[in-house]
Amino acid sequence: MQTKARRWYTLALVVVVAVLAGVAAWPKGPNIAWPRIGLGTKTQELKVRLGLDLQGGTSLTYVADLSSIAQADRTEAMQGVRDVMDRRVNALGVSEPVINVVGSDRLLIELPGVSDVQDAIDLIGKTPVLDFREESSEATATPTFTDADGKPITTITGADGQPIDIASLLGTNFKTTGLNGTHLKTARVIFSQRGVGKPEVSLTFDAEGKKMFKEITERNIGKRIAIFLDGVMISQPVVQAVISDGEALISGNFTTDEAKELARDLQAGALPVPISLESQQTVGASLGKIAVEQSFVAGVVGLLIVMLVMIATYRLPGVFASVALLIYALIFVALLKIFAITLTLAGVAGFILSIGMAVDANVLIFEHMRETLRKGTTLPHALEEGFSRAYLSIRDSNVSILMTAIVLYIFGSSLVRGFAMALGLGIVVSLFTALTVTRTFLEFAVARRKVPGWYLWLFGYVKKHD
Amino acid sequence: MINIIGRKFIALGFSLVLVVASIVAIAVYRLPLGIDFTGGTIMQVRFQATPNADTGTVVQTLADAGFPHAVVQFTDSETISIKTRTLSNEDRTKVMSTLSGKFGAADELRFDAIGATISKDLQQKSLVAVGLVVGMLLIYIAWVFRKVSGIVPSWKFALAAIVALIHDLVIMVGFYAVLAHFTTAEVDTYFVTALLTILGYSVNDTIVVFDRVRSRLLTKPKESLASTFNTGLVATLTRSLNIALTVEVVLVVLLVFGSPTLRPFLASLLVGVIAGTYSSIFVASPLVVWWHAGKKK
Repeated sequence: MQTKARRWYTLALVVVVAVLAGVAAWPKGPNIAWPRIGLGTKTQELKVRLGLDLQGGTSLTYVADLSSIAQADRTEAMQGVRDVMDRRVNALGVSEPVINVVGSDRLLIELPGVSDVQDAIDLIGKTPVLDFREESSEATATPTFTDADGKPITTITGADGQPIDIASLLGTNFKTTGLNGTHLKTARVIFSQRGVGKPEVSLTFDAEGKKMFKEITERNIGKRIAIFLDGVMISQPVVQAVISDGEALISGNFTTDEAKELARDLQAGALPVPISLESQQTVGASLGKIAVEQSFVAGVVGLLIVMLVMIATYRLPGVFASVALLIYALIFVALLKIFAITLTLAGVAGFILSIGMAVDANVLIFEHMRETLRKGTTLPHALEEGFSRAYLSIRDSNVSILMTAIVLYIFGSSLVRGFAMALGLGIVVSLFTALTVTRTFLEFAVARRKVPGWYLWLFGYVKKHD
Repeated sequence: MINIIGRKFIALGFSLVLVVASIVAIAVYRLPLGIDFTGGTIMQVRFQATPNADTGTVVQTLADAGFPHAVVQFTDSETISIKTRTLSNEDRTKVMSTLSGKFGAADELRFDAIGATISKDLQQKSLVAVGLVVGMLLIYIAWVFRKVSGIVPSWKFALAAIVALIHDLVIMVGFYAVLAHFTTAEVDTYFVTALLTILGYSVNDTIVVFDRVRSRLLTKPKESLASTFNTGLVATLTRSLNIALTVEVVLVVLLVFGSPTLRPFLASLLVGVIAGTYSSIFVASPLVVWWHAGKKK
């Protein structure tokens, strides 16, 4: 039984949270101004982001330049592009994009909502293309450059004053190996051990990349391997020994900022081939208006039924649980808006299902309370018992679902992540509403010293007729 | 008091029959994969005059013509983009004629193959993720129930919970195989979501039931294992049924009043919740008792 003071503080907290949530959840509510250090404020528009199925969005078509990839490898290359894009677009937030390979060389990216498209295009546009090439005996024709007097130019001077061979720069002496940006696991900035400590980018390949890199270094001992970034060679180290640990180093004349940016872009995903935006279109929702309305109405009806069942079974505590449920819904919607989580139809169904689970915690508590009351005891004691005995079950079951949600979020594709996020959010919020909110109301309700029989009845306790 | 544990072999036997039936159904009926897994065709069609249709009616028209599960989006008031299963040239003509017939003359702007959104790589990663979750749950349950290890080793609880989970998932998939055979349902991302939801739900439910039994095991050490379990199970029956009922009612309401697109998804959840609730009481618990039978308590 909480002390009087504690009860009032908790109630105040609940009211404040509920009101804030209500304000945030309200349609056309206020926007948040996030203070950013030294840069003024960034305004985030507070609205519920709906998925492509509910709202539609923008469709971007990209064309990939597969000219440097062998015919047999093209499907795999496109698949690589697709997966990298999935990761990149998802880095913008949980936006549930739909990404498909179309035909043999096109990528269709559909993004829900319209206002973020420019961000997406910018981010996609900045995706670097990384690939590794080995020396080739079949040199493709190097375009020839002549100076004003008609003499051929074969080298140009680099930023550091050193001459660079044009043929190498354009990569005409090199052929692709198939090892590219999609095989990267991590990319980070390190500072060179040798000499001045210049910034370098250290790459770690994934399992397949590791194997490929080992083979490439085996084949090319004493020869150069060239690293091409966005079609331009940035480094051509000579292979000293076979590298089987899957680590490579890009050292060039980077400033620290350049190295950091490169590592960050590579980490987010490097494409195996360059892509360019071909077209941009608005697409409507894939579910008809009626379907969307139907689902929302059904959701509200479902919620009402849950509340009715709770009240019918548990009476007064049921009423409290129902109010807690409404607050849960408000907080959930508010958090959706604040974290900019995209809601698809599956997400809506998941949310409605999570209401059932939110109710679970309350049911456990009420059942225990009822049992304790039956043994003949005071209301406050029953409250204590109810909460303490139910607590372990609630904790265990919710932690197990939370663990599931976290693992799914880390490993899943965009659909699974959206679902995992909604689930995780639902668990955390429902724990708060079921435990704290319901408890607060109950605390006030059981605070009276003498209770008449009918009051006990309100708690679902019927005196046994001896 | 109902003797659940006493009749555990009936319960386990029944479950076994269901699981075997599900496996047979999956083998016989096979699971049709949706375009998220297999890829398909994308078409873009422009009507010469603004059609009197919305997304819903176009989807329905295509479904009636033999192209279920088409994803239709309007890119402007006369143009639609359609994603559907791989179309042959005959299918292509049929789609055009169906659309023109119903909504007015139309021209095909585009016809292309569209790749899967769930690549093999992603499928593998998801399986790894699920494996990890199962592993974590095993460890977590074994740890949380360690207090009763003196009476029943806690890993038996963990294993029983996982067996119950697998039981639920197999039955769900079996059910879906049957559903897909008799309707146009396909295995798509919705179904995957349903499986994941029930994964969470089943374990949640089993833990709650075990928790009840645990508190009794600790307070009444002299009682026989079977009796302890049984009393615990019966005590938890009300709560389990209440929760299952609440969730099922919401699902049924959504099923009846909500969008038809969601129906296979909701139906699989419905089956999953029933299986999850059932397995916690009639599969997981009897398994623990059976495993530990005859051992000194």
